[in-house]
Amino acid sequence: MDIYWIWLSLIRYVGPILQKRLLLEFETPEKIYFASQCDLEKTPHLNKRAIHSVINSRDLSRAREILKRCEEKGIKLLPFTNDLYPSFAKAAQESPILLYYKGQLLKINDSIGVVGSRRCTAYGRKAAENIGTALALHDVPLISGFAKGIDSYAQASCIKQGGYTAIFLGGGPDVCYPPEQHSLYHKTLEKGGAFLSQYPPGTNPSPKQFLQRNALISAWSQELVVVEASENSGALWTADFSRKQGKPIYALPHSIYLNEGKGSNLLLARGAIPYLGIESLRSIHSTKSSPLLTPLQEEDPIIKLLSESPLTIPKLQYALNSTDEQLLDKLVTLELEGKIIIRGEMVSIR
Amino acid sequence: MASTTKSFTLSGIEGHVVDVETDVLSGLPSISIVGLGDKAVKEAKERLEAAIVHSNFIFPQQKIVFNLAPSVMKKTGTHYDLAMAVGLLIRTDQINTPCITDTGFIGELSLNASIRPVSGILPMVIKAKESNKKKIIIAKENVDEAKIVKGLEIFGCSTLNEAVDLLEERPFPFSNVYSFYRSKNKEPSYLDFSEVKGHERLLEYITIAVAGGHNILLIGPPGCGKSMIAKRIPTILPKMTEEEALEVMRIYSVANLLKSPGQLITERPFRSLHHNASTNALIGGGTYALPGEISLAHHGVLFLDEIAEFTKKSLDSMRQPLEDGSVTISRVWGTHTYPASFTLVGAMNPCPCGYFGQKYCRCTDYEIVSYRKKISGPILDRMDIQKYVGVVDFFNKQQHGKSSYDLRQDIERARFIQINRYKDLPGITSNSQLPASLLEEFCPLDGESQKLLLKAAEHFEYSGRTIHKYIKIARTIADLEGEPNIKCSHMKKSLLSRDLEKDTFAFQNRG
Repeated sequence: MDIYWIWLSLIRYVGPILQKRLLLEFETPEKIYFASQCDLEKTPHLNKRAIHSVINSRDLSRAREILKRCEEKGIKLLPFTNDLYPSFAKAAQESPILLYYKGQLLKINDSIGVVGSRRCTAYGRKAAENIGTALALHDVPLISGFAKGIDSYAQASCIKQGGYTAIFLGGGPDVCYPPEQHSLYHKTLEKGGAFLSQYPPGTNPSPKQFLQRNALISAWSQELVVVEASENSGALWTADFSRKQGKPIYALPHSIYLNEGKGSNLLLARGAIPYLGIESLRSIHSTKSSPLLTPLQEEDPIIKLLSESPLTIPKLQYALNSTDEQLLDKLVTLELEGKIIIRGEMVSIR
Repeated sequence: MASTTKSFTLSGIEGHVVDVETDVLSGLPSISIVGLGDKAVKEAKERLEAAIVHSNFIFPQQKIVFNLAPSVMKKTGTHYDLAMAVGLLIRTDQINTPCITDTGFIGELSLNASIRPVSGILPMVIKAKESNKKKIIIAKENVDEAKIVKGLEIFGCSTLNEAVDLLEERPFPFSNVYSFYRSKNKEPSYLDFSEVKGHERLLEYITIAVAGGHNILLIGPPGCGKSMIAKRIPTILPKMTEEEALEVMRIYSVANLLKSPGQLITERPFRSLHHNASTNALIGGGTYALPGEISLAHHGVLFLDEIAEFTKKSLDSMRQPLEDGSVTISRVWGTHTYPASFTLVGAMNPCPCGYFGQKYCRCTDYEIVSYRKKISGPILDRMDIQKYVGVVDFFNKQQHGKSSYDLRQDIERARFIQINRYKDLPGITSNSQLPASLLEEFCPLDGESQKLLLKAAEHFEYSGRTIHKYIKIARTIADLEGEPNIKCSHMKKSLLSRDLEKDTFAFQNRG
């Protein structure tokens, strides 16, 4: 019964660890609900305060409300016993016994978490986007946190390439935070991705919840890539959880003079595996390589040139040895096809 | 019977005839001025008394009433003094003049009976001519400005006595061709577009903007040359037609900003504003609803540097004038409509740090979007051309800028084509002023460019107005090349003219 799952997840002083301990003892939340005090006292390592809390909160009204809300908003429940709850995610002690999700949840076997700072460099952005695309091409689900910057770049490029993403939110699964990314939120749902959260629908995000969200990202990923992190970035917390959960952590090497990269360099110093390209990831090796592994090779020389770095029109002209007229002609056509973007003199890939 | 003299009042830049009626009634000595005059008009009584006494006339110790008709129209200013003084002298039979109805009086009196210059002479004299006045008597200092209007006699008098002599047709030694500001040469400009290097492609769009009167927004990092380019725009502005010049002079006359009143302004105005300018400074206002910068930039250029730093309210107040080419301001002392058909040139940074697209930039997409939102959509939509200004490769020796002279030649030619094309349409002298209804007639597209435009419109989800802008810009590009018809190549160039909009589109459609 879903309602008992919700009830169990709401009890004060009973966190993920105690919840799981109770489940182990009683098998179903329903049984916990109807358990007597002596039964509860028999549970090993269950403190008095928790027992008290379980007994005193046998009220289903809040749970009923949440359940109703879930139905209204099309939010589904993912209890601990569900097959879709990956076993590796269950292993983490921070994993809650119940998750709420919106969208389509698939069975996740391999998964890569991609996290990074919100305020990122162009280098970080490029890397995040490349990882997102590569994961999509390798059919490896992307786990991320929907933050601005790295998280969203990786997510956007992944769904653009048709990949699967499972995104963890710091608020309820129906609360699009940051609100500026609502188009990405809806697009992800449209493309079959999922937004998960341990918080009931309608919950607003708060700093503490983001920390727990980070733990979940780590729990659900088999490997974690920290693309870019400054010294006190939230991404480092995620890495911290991964370390505790014993998962491989990859970090992108950065310039030692850049503040934005200090955190990821620090991770490298502490033993993280340097991320040198998608081949670095272990999950990638386990997947069978398919002919679609590399993105469609661009035949157009302009796109080829630009994919390395943005160029000015005169430089393009010099490189391609073409006349002004011809080049502009081609550029306008390419822009209308949505492949490039021209900003004054500067031409870059979309 | 009351005597009537003619003077003028202003509503916006339009003059109106005012009948100054003077009567002397029996009663306790007093002076009253009726006809909705403001404080300045009412204070005339003291000046009048002193001036008349000092001119050796008799100021009647009776009840004197002045009526400024039409009495429902609010009046302001000190220029009725002369008409009132003359009216009083006629009423009290101290001067004898055969015909006074075809003479207009504009001038302020000093206590010593000298006539002082006033502002707004030009529109008033234009009105005098329109209402078939034969003579105008004004202060000597105002003669130069009034002389721009041909077809009526203009007399400059320095004292009330001179004016009386003139009315009584007594000869007196004064010269009509008096001038304070004769042969004042234009200050030579040290700015030239040849100093702008490495921005050839951008200059092309500047040329297009100036040639067609299109608004342009320059976006670029600090120090890339946005302001440098904008400051040189006056050097390539085309000459004004006489009609345009007269309209500009009327505005400047009302605002009392004519620098050399004797000469027809030939240079288009270029107004540059700091971003803490108030809405009233921009649009016009104050107690007397005086013209603001947008009207002072009429037929010229209004340059707003750091346009994103202007308050949203001031910027948005330009929405309607940008569309209508005129602005109506209502204040206590009247509701005035001023023309405001100007080319808006704006300059701004692309993001909060200013270095968008360069390696130092750490601005998030949303910071960039919110920074750009400081310029509201409707204003951005009205910026016909939005171009990024790149950083110049300073040491590239091959790059030579085109000189202002060359650019101006091209622009004059393109303007000439436009003026000829629109000669039957009143008020339209450039492509940017073309209303949507006439686009099909004057800017027909061939199949190829139509297809291209359609494709772009579908891809970027352009609004109807934006599509019209592209067509108009393509028209200007064709005019610059001297082509009678818009070709595909013109349309292509035109489609590259709105960089900022593409960015916004890219941000919104990410993911």
